[in-house]
Amino acid sequence: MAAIDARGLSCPQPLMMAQAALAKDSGPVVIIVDSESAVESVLRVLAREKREVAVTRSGQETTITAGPKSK
Amino acid sequence: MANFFSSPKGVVVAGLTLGLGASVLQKLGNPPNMGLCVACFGRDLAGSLGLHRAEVVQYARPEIFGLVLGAFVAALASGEFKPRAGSSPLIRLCLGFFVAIGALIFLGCPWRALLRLAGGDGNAILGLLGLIAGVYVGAAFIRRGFTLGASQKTVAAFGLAFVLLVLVLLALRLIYPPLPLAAKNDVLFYSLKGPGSLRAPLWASLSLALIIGFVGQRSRFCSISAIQNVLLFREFHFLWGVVGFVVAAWVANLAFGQFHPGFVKQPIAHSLYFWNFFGLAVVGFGCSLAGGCPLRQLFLAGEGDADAGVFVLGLLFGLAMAHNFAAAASGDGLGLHSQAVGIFSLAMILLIAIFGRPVKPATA
Repeated sequence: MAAIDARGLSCPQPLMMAQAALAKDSGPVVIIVDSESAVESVLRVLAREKREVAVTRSGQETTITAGPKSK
Repeated sequence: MANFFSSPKGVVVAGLTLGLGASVLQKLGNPPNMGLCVACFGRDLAGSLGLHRAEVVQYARPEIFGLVLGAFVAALASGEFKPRAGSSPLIRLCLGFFVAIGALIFLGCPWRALLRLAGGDGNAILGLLGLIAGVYVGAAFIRRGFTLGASQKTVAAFGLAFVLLVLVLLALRLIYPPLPLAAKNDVLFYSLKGPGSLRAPLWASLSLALIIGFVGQRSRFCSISAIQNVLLFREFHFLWGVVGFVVAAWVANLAFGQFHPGFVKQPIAHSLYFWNFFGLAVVGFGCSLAGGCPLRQLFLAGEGDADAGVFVLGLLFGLAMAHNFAAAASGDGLGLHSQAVGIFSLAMILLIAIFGRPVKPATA
């Protein structure tokens, strides 16, 4: 399972890293971010790809687990 | 809590709000096609502080303060105030500086480019094409792995430093307001003629900018993201916000009699096609490496991002030096050194792009 740590990175790096990982790995992929704009942009792309998504928040960090593309 | 302004409808509402606000600010007295411009207002602020002595562009624009404070309030209210720092601050300062040079060759930040378009200034099209080209090149480097490194969490006081700086400047503006027929009071310079003398009333500038800052923080409004997300991810979310911005400003400009289509004799603009393209290409390239347009950097600084605050300080410094070095263009065309300083700035951003690689972990 691929894990991406995009904490503290400027836009658009979190999204780019997430997308690169998702292209290689059918899922699940874990993405850790710490800004709401990154959370929103990653979730937007995951929603467009119709992937199952689980979001857990702890403190300032958000962990997004992206499942495989649902058929 | 769902964030309305980050929804597909919300981002368009945010764009409409910003576009309308900008047009209204022009109607209330701001310079033509300059209802809202971070480069122009930053330049005026730098002039008001005496960092440059171009007499026609000196005014401590309340908009700058309102944008940061509005974003700060929005971040606090939503629990998104996150003090952070330490992602290549000096390089961000340099990027802010070089972006400033590009912006003053074009004469505006990306948002003014859109306002110029909404006011009928065809030269803005060249600028916007340049912006897209610049973002495209920046995105190519980011795709190759360019990074300024991750920021670190820091203490609240350090995240607040930029907001406090803004409050101090706002206090100076309130304690030392413009005097009639005086180009300087005890502290601040104020233009008596030219764009710096064209001002919406203090209360209007401040309150509209507070609203724009609030909405901007909630929506993550960014002209660079709008282009970058389309180029990199075929994702049109922010672009719809930009469309809303232009449409609202255009309709409001029509209603206010502020729409004058054409290429020549446009207000605070020149018709040098290549240099309009070039100026915003520098801005697009530099801002994509820095992770946001000048307006977005103000919002980020307001939500505790000290690195964005450093970018803004670099921007102010660059805007001032652009005038001191005769690198800034004007309605009459380029400054004496615009070409040399502009090409130097582009070269420096290119070097930053080439060398900005991830640090290899230490091998123990």
